Amino acid sequence: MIRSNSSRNRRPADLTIGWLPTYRVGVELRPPSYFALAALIDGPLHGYAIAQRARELSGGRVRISTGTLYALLERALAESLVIAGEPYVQGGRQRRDYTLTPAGRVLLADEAARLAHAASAVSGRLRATSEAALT
Amino acid sequence: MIRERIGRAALRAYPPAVRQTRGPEMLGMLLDAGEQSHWALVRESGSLVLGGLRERRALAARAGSRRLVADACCQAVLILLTLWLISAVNKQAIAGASRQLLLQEVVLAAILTCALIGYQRIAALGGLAALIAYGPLGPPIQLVALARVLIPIACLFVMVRAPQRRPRDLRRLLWLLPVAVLAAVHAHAHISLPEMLAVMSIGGLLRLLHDPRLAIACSLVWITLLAAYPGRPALAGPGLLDLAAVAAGLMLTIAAGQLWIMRHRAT
Repeated sequence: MIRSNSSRNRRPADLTIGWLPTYRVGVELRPPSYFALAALIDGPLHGYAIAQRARELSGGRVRISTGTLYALLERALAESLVIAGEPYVQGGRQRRDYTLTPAGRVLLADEAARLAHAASAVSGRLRATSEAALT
Repeated sequence: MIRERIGRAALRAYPPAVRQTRGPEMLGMLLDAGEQSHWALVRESGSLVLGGLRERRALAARAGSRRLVADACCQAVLILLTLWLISAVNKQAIAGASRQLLLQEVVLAAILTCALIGYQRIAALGGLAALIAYGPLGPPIQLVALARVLIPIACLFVMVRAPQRRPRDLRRLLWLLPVAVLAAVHAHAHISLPEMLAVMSIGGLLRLLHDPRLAIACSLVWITLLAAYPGRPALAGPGLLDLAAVAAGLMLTIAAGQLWIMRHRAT
């Protein structure tokens, strides 16, 4: 789910297949993780609501399935990026709300800044080369 | 109701611990998402199955490759003991009841029971004792015969040193049920050990998706069987052993590859 920039710097004890607790500074979040965490900015949500909100935020580009969402929520819980509330029943279905922690907000802010920087750098270059080509 | 059943079936892909903690809310989300269309339900169920397999794979990988190999050896012992017990039952069905065979069956059943419940060290020591008493290790010792049971001996030693880490559970005795049924049904017929092992190997192949242990165990047992019957035994049909050799080699190769990947990714 999360892609590390440097595989050599990984701590062996941290890494296992399908379970990469790499929500640390210096790593990039993949879109599903990014939008799932971003879905919780406005307040606690349950699983299905997170998936729907993530889809809205991404403009319909990111669809998070049940299996994917719970895998990334488990990792986020292990990394203390979100906390899980008590289970409750709504409409005959059991739910549990997840809340973004301060550490989660920091990680999201870092990632948003990184993406913004990357976008502005590329946009700037594109603009510059387009203007040069036109003149 | 059918949607819920499909969801619950898909959830079975997850390890029991995850099912217990997150199962109901995962099912709730699947039903919410599946309300849109049948296709959405199928897609979400598929995603749950894949998620469950990933989770199980991660669980196996967290155990470490040494532990996985040790567990595979322990499972190989369980399969070998089962086959040995079936073979003893077979022998009795063919040769007629004898006190010695009956005693052997009781001893093997007791060892297998110990191993299944969770007393694996005791079972392994019992297995070594049984090999000496009833197997090729009994006097006079023949080197060729000894070489043929090297894998079972090695597996028994691994079981003594590193038994499987799992809580004691009487429900595992259900494993003996098919053996008892086979003994009752085939009281006067022959049960082919390779065919029995082939059935177990299918399970091992299916589990290869997330866990190489059973596949390694089955491969070890295949190799033991092939070493035990180097010629064309009456036990196996024509070409069956060739097929078994290929299947065992293939399974072992895939399982070893999977172990290597797990180890490689973990470091």
